[in-house]
Amino acid sequence: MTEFKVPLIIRGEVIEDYAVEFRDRGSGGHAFVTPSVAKYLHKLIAKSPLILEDLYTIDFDEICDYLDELRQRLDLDTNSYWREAFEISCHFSNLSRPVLEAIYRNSPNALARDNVRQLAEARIGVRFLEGWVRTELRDGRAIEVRAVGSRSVHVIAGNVPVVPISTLLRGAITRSDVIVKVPSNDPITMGAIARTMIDMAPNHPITRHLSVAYWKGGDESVEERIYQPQHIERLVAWGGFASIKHITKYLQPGIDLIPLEPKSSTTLIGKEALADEETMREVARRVAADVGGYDQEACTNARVMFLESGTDEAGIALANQFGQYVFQAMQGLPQTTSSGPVNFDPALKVELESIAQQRDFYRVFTERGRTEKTGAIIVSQVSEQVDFPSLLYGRVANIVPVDRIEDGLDSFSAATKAAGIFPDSLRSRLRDRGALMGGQSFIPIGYAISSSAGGPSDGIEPERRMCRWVVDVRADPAVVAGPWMQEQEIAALRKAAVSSRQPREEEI
Amino acid sequence: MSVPVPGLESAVDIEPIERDDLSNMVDRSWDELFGMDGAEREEFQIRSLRRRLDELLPKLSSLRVQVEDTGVSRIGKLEDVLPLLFHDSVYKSYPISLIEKNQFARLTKWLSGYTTVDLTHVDVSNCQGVDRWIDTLDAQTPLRVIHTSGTSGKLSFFPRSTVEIRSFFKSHLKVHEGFGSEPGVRLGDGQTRMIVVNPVPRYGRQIRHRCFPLMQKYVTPAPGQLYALDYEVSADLVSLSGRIRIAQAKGELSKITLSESQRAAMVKYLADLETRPADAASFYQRIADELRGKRVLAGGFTHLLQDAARTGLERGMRNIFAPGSLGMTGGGNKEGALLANWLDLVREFTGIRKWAMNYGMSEMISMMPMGDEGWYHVPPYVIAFLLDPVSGALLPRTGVVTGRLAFYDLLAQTNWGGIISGDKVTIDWDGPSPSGRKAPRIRSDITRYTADITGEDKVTCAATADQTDAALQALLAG
Repeated sequence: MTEFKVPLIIRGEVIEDYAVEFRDRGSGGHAFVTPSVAKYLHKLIAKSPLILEDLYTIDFDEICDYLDELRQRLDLDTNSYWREAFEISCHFSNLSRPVLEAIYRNSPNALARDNVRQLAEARIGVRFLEGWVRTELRDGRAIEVRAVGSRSVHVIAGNVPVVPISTLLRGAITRSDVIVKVPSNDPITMGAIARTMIDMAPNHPITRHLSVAYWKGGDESVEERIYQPQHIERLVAWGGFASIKHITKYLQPGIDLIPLEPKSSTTLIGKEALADEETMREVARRVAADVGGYDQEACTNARVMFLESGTDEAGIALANQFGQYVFQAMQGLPQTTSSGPVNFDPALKVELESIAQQRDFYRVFTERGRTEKTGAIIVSQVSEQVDFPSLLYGRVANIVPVDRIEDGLDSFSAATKAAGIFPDSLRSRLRDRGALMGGQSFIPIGYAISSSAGGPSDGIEPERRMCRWVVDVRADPAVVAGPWMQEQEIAALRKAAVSSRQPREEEI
Repeated sequence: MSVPVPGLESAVDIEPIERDDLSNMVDRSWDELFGMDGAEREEFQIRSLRRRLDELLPKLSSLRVQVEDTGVSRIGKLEDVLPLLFHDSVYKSYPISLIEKNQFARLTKWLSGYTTVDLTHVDVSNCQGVDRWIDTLDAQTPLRVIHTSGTSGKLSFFPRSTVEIRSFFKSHLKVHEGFGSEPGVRLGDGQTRMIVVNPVPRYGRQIRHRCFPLMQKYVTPAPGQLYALDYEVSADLVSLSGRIRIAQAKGELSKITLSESQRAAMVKYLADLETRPADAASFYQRIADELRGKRVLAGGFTHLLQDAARTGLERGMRNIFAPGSLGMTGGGNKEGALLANWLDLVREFTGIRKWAMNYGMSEMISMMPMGDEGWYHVPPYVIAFLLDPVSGALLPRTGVVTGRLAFYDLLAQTNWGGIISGDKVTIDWDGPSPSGRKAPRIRSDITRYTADITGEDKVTCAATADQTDAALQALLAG
């Protein structure tokens, strides 16, 4: 049993006044100590919105330069903070070591200059971040719009440690003041990034606008004081239903909640996948990556998968064969993609052992006695999901045979994060209805854990919503009529406007 | 207050199954049962376990699957049975769609894998809902299915027969018998009779409802002298929120529909739930005049007894029942609502000094009586094991050990008695017991394995929103 230190970091200052212990019963009793956030609240709270002014002394290129340099410094082999975060995550995370290592090696690449610019351009438009963007209106007025930053708190998820990088990225490009509340399943990664930033550029505005704190989610002595509209404008909340439900009680005019709510994903596999042995094997390989990638800890992973095999005897036999191929392929995935979770949920194990007897209803493909490491593919023998879909973790998925793949759309809801669909033609056919049913992203089979390509998330655009969209209206009284004017003045303005207009061809 | 009770009596035409000598162990005295020394007990247990396996293996397809999967078919020593124990969730491993779609023939077939009672000729084609399904099985077979509350998910169905219900009934009353020189009363064979007072719903298909007809036959002086609440516990109603929870996890909420009559029944049920605690608390006030000074066998959930006692004492009601009355309670301090002096209050109010306590669960037929203060004793017909809560590995059967309780219950004659429970218990394997009972004993601070394993304050993006209450309200609004 080891005790780790989780410093409190407030806008470039590292506070190591350790006073509070948090012991996680779920991670083999590992514990960490951290300063009392309540004691430093006066520092943590940004009292004035003008705190953001220094972020406007730098231009977007400098933001890109900063992030790109940070990317190079987040190097597992040379950065002791980053290395320590990785090692500690091996204790707190449920991801296997090889998968974690791949994440710590690869996730900083999102900070590469070109990536940052592409994301900012696609999601917001760099010119809106850099200045006022003018639009001429038909009546002679103009509007100038700018996306300005906000004071934000981010309650982040810890199941896959790519969230800290994307949180930093969103804060930097929007020029926001960012307070990150870290979770108990990843208390350390965000702080490692912040400490690297402090060593790299202690007085840089981006460094001075990142704070990292751990308090126990729901601690009202902290949350009631931070979550006030005079202190923050945006609350970005990841994660569990209970935590979001809890946070909503702090909502009031002036605080905009950006919910990155709990999600799950669905997979639809058309009959084309079963065309011949070779295709089955190939699709099974890709499906295996959707199930097993990130050790199935992410919301984008495949869990319940509808297969258009048919539900007669021959169809079920085909589904069983496909299930077996998926299970076999999962065992051969690259270690850095999937090595099996650290802890396997005992409740899921019980369910698996219980349904193993139910051969009329389920076929379970697994390696008996090693299910915790190998995972399992459950093939329903009737066209019904298992009754414990929310327990499907640890590389355990359920293949549900259906007669018509469209039937799988019935299970879409507002909580459907991603839908992996095979083949592409099926995706084109289903996506309009799927979108209306609640689906938020459609991805090719096999790319579940690598589908993020700068698109919207969870059906919203968090980057745009983190900005405050400010409009400056321009109107010249010599051109634009105003409510103080008399009728004859307005008529004169209109006449002048008509005479100054170039006659168009059809008017001649 | 007595009304004919559905269940056993509605199925009088069914030939009861004959109890065997192992089931009859429950009729032996505590002196005999807790007088066995360790070697004698273990010899009895191994011999009986082998016999149960031999008897049940040819008749239970579920056990055959388990034997095929594990390769274990012979019992050399007691722990050899571990791979053959069933998780308690096996009894809810049917697809819930069978209930949603009224496929009760398939549900019957599923259940038939777990009982030696022949269900092949049962006609359940007209069943709409779980209540009618269980009633139909009652009427056509000696099976007496009991179900759990199902509030957190699916209903579990335990395939008891008339034999196991009788054994449970005896085991439940056996707590009042003394060991050695302790005073005690032998109940349940019709010799000693008492009025029975138990403020729980009178009708239903849970284990306590199954016992009421036997109480009226073997304990109360006349059939009308069982005092209970005139409610029925409906399996269909208690399980509705659990069904909703599962349906929304599957994205299938729209598939749950209620008929007009189901909706009306559910609305009434929820309204009843609101008033029931008050009903139970006022129950004693209502019967006090009628039963004052009479000798009774009183029972009920601990927190309800406490509430009744507080209200009664405030109104000046004391020592209601005659000396020699007996009490039995259980349910523990689940909601943390028990006062430190709850037992004193209950004693003063009822006048009953001796409040016996059993430890058991729906998964078990045998009950374990509290013999020493704070400890429940494991009778020889229960073979207890403790397992590591995560790995499932066997923990030592010596010293004082805490773990997940698993057991083989030899009183199960028509179903497999091996269960891995969800209870976290501490067992003192080798005593010595201050009362002189020779048996392993279980400390009374029993809890469930839940948050202990899953951890807390973890934020993850992969989950399902739980909006059961909102969905339930929407369904009820129609």
